[in-house]
Amino acid sequence: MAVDQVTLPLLSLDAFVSHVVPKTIGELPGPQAPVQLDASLPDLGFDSFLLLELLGAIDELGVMLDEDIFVRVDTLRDLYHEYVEVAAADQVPTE
Amino acid sequence: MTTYRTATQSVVLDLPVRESRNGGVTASELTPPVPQLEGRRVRLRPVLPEDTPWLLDLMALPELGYQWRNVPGTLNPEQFAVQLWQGVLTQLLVTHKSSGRKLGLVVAYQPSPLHRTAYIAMVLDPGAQRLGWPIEGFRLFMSYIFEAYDLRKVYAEAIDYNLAQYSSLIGRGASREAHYREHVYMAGEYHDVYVIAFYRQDWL
Repeated sequence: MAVDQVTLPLLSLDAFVSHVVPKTIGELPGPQAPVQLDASLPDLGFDSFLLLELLGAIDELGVMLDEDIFVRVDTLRDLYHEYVEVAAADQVPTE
Repeated sequence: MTTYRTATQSVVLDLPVRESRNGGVTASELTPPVPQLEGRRVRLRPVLPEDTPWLLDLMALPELGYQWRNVPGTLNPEQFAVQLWQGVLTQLLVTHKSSGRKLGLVVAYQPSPLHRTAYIAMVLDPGAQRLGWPIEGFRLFMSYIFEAYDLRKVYAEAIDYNLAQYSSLIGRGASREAHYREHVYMAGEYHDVYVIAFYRQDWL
């Protein structure tokens, strides 16, 4: 379901991570320590409050994910795939 | 900005105003403050008498009973509606914004007018808890009670197995201030309880 806001371009995986991570679990680590895209969200430090902020950060991209998203996905990479799928269904233009 | 002129001085009030159709603003159109009880996905609303059976069912769940000041199997249905409001400053139902579905309850209780403190608690339907985002109700409620009441500090109690729930808030609007070792007895063992404090100036 699209948010009734400005439609933003579809982000690449790197751009997606660069958008959501600083708004949630903190600053991005350096190139020697990339974000673990396949680690579970709790292992990355996401508690309920940060999951809420994570959804808010994705809302800002003009995409509203399904409300059971955190029941179905558990990693940032899976979350990105969901974002792409919903954005494509809503015809968000590519970057 | 609205300016009122008295006999001796000019008084400037920085109040929210609503423009009239012709673009002018009059004192009679000052907008009353309205609490923010809606978030992106959650709406807080008053508890109504018809909510009582749902709340009783919720509190009677074995997995929630201990967290809600009772031992499973001890809730008296006939006294529940009264018990629900004992020691309560204010409480609101957490609902799904678009469907109105009930998700849980947020409550401020044990207020101290002298110390300007109160406690806050939230209980969510286990199905809603798994979704993650209903915690927005907690954020909304915390802001609401600081705005509705002149509270200085609000406490939340977390049982050891639930402490991680608050971990991201520590240092970001909340601080851990007390630790009661082996404080509560639950299902055959004692658990530690932590007190998390939220200060008005850090939260708002």
